[in-house]
Amino acid sequence: MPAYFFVKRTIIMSEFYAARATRLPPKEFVLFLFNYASDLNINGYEADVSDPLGKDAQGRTMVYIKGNGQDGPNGDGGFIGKAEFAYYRTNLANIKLPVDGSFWDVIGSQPSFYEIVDEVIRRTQFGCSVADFIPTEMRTDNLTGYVLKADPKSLRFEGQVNLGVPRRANIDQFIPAGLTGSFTQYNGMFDLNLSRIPINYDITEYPDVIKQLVKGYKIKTTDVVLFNLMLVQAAYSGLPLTNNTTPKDLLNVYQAEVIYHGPLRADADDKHLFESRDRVVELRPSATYAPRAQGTLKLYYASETPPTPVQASLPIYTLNMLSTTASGTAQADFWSKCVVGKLLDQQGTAGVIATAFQAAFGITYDAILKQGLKVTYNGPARPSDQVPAGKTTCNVCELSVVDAPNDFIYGPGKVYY
Amino acid sequence: MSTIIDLLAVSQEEAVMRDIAQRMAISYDVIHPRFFSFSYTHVDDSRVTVQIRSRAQTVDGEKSPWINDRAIQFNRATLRGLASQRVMNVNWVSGMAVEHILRALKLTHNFNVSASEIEWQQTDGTWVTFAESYRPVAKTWACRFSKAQARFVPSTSQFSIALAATTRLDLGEYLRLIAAGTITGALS
Repeated sequence: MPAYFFVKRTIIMSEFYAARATRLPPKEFVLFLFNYASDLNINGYEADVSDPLGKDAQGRTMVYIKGNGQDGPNGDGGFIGKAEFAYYRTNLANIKLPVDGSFWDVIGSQPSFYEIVDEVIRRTQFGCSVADFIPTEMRTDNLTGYVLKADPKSLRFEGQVNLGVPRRANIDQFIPAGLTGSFTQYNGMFDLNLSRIPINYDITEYPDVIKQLVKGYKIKTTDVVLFNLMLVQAAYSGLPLTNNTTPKDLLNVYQAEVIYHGPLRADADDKHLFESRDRVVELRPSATYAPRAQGTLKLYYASETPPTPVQASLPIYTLNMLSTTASGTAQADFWSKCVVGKLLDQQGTAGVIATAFQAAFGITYDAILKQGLKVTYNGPARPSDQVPAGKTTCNVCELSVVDAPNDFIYGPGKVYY
Repeated sequence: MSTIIDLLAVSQEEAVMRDIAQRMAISYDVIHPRFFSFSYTHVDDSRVTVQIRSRAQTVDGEKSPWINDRAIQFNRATLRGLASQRVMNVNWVSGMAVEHILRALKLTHNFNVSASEIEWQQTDGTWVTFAESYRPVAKTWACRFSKAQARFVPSTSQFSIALAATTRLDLGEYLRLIAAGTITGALS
């Protein structure tokens, strides 16, 4: 049954009811008082509460309680029309909040406005929200105290309260008597830590260097291209870089070992360093040749055109190119004896070849050997082979990669002799 | 709290307060150096007394949560990671002041020191403390940590800074080194 109420009663509740009312949200709080004064039982589903209309002669806040025509919880009745209702809002000055600065002990001296309101709610148990107050940030340079002001539209509060300034602790009493500081425990932490040096190389434009840097590879003095690349950028950063067989105090990249080569790792690499760089080579300096260096050095690059098994091939080696060594005949003799299935590694006879290759090709041979080479053909050059210029007849030893770590897969390489 | 700091990678004041925070198992933020001023009194080669004075407010106007002051004795570390042979290269540009050299050391070597901690050796062998604005002319400077600092045993702390002169001033590099963007210009 629709009802129309006009209620102006001074509310006098028992402490029990008052305490219960404080925990209600603002709208329910007003309806609770209204119900108490009118002997009704209207809930927030059936009626709305207007913003404060002003105050009456007794200083009470006036609002409209508006029935919204919704059926009641049992499908009966409901309310329409509106009733003017007056009640006393809580003056912030009368609530029990500490003003000696201890209010800030829990939330610190620089809380946000929301943290302040949360602390007010925690301490008072009032059912209020940030909307009950005028948003004001804590300013720690405000030496006269933080003033929390009620929003004029608040159904719950009026007035303001000064919450004081954060209490200042006595540093002399805070630090225990007899405490002695010491830096001796940090001994050994002074060494150069590469991980924190703001230097990062981009080697995208150097595909030959990228191919060379497979896991386990160690930088040699003959790695001229790689070292020059690092040196140029090291000079830009001021990092004193060397590639020296004599141990150096600072960063010496000689024998620095590739410990990772692959996609950027979420927990280890800086994905934001270069937007397009998606792969990284991580090098660990040698403990022998760079004893002071800690951490690792990273070389970043982009893999827009990553090497594939068919695109990336081993270089074609000819003994013409090896003729600069004194062992040209010995090399031809070696290759002629490489039967199909023979595995080349850095041990034994192949070590001799490695020396010759290194002299002729510098940076590449050792990297290839790391992956292991297997003889897949040895005999006269076939129509598919490319006989080097100047030679009419020629033999070819075809080599394939046995192990291809880190996505570096090479096609067959050919040695002509 | 088991945080281990790189003693050279932070400022002297941060090192002091981080050590205290670690010993007291409290957050470093609670006793952040911005709330205090510091002074150092030499006791002997291996010890120094650090006086911590609470500021009323920080340089940014923030109110300090602390009052009063406190003296704490610190044991200095032996700077064995920086042997006297250690030479740190700094790209040098004309007019570079001490403050810029030290800032470059911080950027390139993770070497975080202020001018007040360092003494520089003059040609007559005497050691002096230069103001940050002093502009060195020598290419190599012998330096050591002074008695008026907390971190390192002074007698073991000598090192050198080599200024690698550049023939042309790279403005981009220079701006990066001074980092703070304090260069201003005016047309009048």
